[in-house]
Amino acid sequence: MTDLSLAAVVGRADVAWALAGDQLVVHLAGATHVLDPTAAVLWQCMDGAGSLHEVFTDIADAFAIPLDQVAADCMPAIGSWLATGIVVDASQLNPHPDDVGEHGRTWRRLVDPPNT
Amino acid sequence: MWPHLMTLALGDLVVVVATDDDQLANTLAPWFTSDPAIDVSVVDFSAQLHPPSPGHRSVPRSIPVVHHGTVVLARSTDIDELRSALLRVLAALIADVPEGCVRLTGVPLLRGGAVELASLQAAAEGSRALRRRGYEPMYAGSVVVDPRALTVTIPAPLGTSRSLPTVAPLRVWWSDLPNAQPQWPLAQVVAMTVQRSIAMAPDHTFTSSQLAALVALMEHLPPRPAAEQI
Repeated sequence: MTDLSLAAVVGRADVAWALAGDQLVVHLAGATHVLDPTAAVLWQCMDGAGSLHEVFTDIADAFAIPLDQVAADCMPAIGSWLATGIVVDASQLNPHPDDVGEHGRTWRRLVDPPNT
Repeated sequence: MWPHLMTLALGDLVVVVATDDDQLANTLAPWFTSDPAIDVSVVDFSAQLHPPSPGHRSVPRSIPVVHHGTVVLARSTDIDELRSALLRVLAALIADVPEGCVRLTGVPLLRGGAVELASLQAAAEGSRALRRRGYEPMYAGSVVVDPRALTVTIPAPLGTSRSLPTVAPLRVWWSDLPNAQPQWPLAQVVAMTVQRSIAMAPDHTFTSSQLAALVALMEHLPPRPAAEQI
């Protein structure tokens, strides 16, 4: 087990996700990902409340799989999710920075218009 | 180039609109803003309603058009129709997306009291060609779809507070994926259609609820292949 297994990991607040059949679609500005059924289960377990070790333990119990195997199978996926930024360490959550205009007013913009 | 280059504040959303039409500029005047913090280098929408006349009869004339970037949102020889189109596009940007509903870009085509939602490419054909096929285009850029009731809500043009949005049944909608295959898993098609929900929408507003609504729409009324679009 790595130190990361002690962390609580959670999907970013601005990530949209939904089940589509037994797969899961995850969207974060600029990129959309499809998770296979196994990864979809893992994603739904990561609520930031429990550590990854606790999540792996729950999955190992539910599917009667050795804990070490669950951890070995899941850590690469979680590592890639952390790398793409769709999940974060719950202890390091920061609010999304916004552009602040005159008098402190916050403006929103459209996604850049197409230029083909 | 543009006689009117306007920065508009629509609630907390700012858009930059360019037009050559005085009447449209006057209509949009109540939304002008001049906050120097706003970057106006990117024009979000343009409405060229008075293209220069060709110098000779043999030269093709330009049809008045509304653009989002390089994408045609509306094309017609009816200037009033294009004014309404841009105002409806702006209203659609700030339209509420109720829980359980999803925004989709496209061209709502009315026929027989129902909406057939074409992808935006249909707008480039122009109103005359669409009407010849029996469709009444209601250019809006995007609409709100309720996947349970299978209805489409098309906003009234911005600034026409007495008009109510048009709500009509959704009969069919077309994918804009040219190579989509029937055997593709649902999640893959959804992932490739997400862009239709986030394009022409304020950033950071696409929610899990809207993504779930897109999935529900795909399940209840799958889009027809792009190749079959009118």
